Amino acid sequence: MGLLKLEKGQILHKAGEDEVSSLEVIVKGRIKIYDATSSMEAGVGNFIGLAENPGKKLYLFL
Amino acid sequence: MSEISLVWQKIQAKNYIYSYEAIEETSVYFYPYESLDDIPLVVKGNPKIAPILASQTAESAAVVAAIYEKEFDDANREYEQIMADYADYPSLCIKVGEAPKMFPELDEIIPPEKSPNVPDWSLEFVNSLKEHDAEAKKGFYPISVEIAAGMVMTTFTIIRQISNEVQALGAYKKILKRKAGAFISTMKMIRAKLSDMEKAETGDTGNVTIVNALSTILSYSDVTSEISAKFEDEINRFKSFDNRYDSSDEARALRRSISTSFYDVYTAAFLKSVTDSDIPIELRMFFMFGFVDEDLAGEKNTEILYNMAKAYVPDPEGNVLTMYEWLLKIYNLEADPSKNEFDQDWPAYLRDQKMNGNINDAQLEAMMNHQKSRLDFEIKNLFALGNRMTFGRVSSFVPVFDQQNVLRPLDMAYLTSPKVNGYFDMIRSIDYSVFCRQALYTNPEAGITQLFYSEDITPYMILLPNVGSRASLWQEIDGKNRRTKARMLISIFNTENTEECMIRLFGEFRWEMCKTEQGVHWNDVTDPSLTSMYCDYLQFFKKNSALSSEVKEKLRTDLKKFSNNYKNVFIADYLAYIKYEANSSPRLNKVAREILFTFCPFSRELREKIGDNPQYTELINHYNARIGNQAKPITNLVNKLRKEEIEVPEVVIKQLEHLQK
Repeated sequence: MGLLKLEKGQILHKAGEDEVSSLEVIVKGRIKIYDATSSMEAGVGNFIGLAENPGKKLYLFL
Repeated sequence: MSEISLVWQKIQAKNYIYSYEAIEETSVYFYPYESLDDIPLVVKGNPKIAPILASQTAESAAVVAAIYEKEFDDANREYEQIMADYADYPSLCIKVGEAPKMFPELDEIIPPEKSPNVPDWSLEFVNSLKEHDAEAKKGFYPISVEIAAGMVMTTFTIIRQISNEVQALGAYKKILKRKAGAFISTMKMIRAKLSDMEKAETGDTGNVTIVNALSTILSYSDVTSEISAKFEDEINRFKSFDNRYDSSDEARALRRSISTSFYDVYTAAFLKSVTDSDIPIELRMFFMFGFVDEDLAGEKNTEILYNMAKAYVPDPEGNVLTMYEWLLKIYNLEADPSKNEFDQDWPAYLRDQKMNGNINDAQLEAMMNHQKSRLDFEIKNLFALGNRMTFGRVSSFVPVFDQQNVLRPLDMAYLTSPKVNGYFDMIRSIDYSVFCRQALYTNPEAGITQLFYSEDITPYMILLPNVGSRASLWQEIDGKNRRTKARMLISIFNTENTEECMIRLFGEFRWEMCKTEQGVHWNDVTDPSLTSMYCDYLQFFKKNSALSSEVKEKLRTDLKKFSNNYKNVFIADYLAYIKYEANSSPRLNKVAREILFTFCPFSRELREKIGDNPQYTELINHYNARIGNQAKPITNLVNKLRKEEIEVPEVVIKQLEHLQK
């Protein structure tokens, strides 16, 4: 939990590479959400990563 | 297992489906996200902004719904277009006079369907929420944090369902493209033909019909679907990059990757074209200029390239060749493949492969004249390396035609065979013996036991398909035969001062040819030659009493500037010699001028013009005496043969004429 500052053009998460483990709320600025075919913009008050599937931690005893 | 150990594993760990990029300076507050239960916790943990979170999530849901509708409409339109074209295809084939092909994969295509997972009411719901957002934000979301959290979760569920369907539509479009790719390209070709036929009927030749050239090229080349998809994806990514010549790792990797795929496609398309008498114009543009995409090239440039490719006339003398023509020569065994980066020619490379155990004797024999192996070797070496070299900026090289590289109007930068032959004539009118090689003539019947004569061998000038700034000498002779043509490379669109580029290139040729002729004695001053005298002059200039201290200082600076590379110092001096000294504008010091005039003498016309110049008077006198001594026995020989009424061999007459040049 914490605040993260991003510069213009900085990638917060990259499709196919980063693992989903956090949910973000935009408190300042705008973020472009895109894949190969479509894109949209999100502003202040938007959740980042709602459409993603989070990873789960599981403890196994062997 | 006796000991119980705790092992932590992540399951269901998924990667992001979308990329997220800040489009301005942005701050985000991040929370752990392990399950969906974390979402309401975030809302409840921020009661003050909970209504805003609910409102923004509803708005996002409406945006995602609009994207879904658009994607569905696009997919549907594409499908209907393909099916309509498929129905028209047989009659269009008859119209353009082509035999219809079978496309069984089109029968497998089904129309896109709206998923029951996204019912209409959910779309209407999120659209209505957006419409009444102001009222909801004022009087509904703020009622309680539980309502806000509930709204976030409701709209979130809709977002997720729609997002899954958008992904599915994306996958549908990819399959559609894969299955109908060949048919779409065929239809484009048919449409272009139809358009050309209509123009021919109406007499209109103005507009250019280049549409979706990349598909045409890929379809024509018959490369595997993997290579085709990879190249198409790379070009699309390259196009979408604003800063495609960036030095970032991503941009570099993409440029490198394009280079690899480009030659795969080029080779495949080339192999198909050798048996095709009617190569499509897109392919001719691809072969000549590296053109692959009309958007990447720009509309205006595409039109120019189209006209250039259409109006192209090969060099009647066969000295100036496009890369395609050159590869054709290699493929048809009319010329041997060029040397590779380790200075090995084709036979030497094969011998090396055999010594390393990569091939055996039988394979060596089979490969020596194997067309495809020779072509691959040439593409991998001369084409791939030469293309990068002539482009000028090695780290930002891409083999495809890009309008961002057009730094000079194309019609001015375009090198045609008359232009290049003009440069050959220009250099010969100044340095008349630049392409001459010494050869031995014997004719015992005419009583000529030994006559050394000069043979003028015009080099090959191969035009590389790029917009570049450099010219390069690939090799001065072919194999060991000194009477073979040199191979020079230059971009088909030269953005620099082409005259200077050419003079430098000819200077380099002078140097390298001398080295080849002299062999190990190339820098042996006891065997005077251009290279040996120049090396001696540059090595011992400090002790040379003929040079003033200012000249010595300048030489010191020049050597530093050219990193002590004698060849490059010579090339700079050669440029000054041809460009300025020949126009009576002295730029060289006395020693350099003497060496250059001795080994690269000016033509007769120029000698007469500058004869009064005291800097040249003595040099010209020496030259005349030397040439007189060489011409005298030949004149005597001619007189003797004429007296005896024996026909004077052409070689003898030509040598006499050469000495009088």
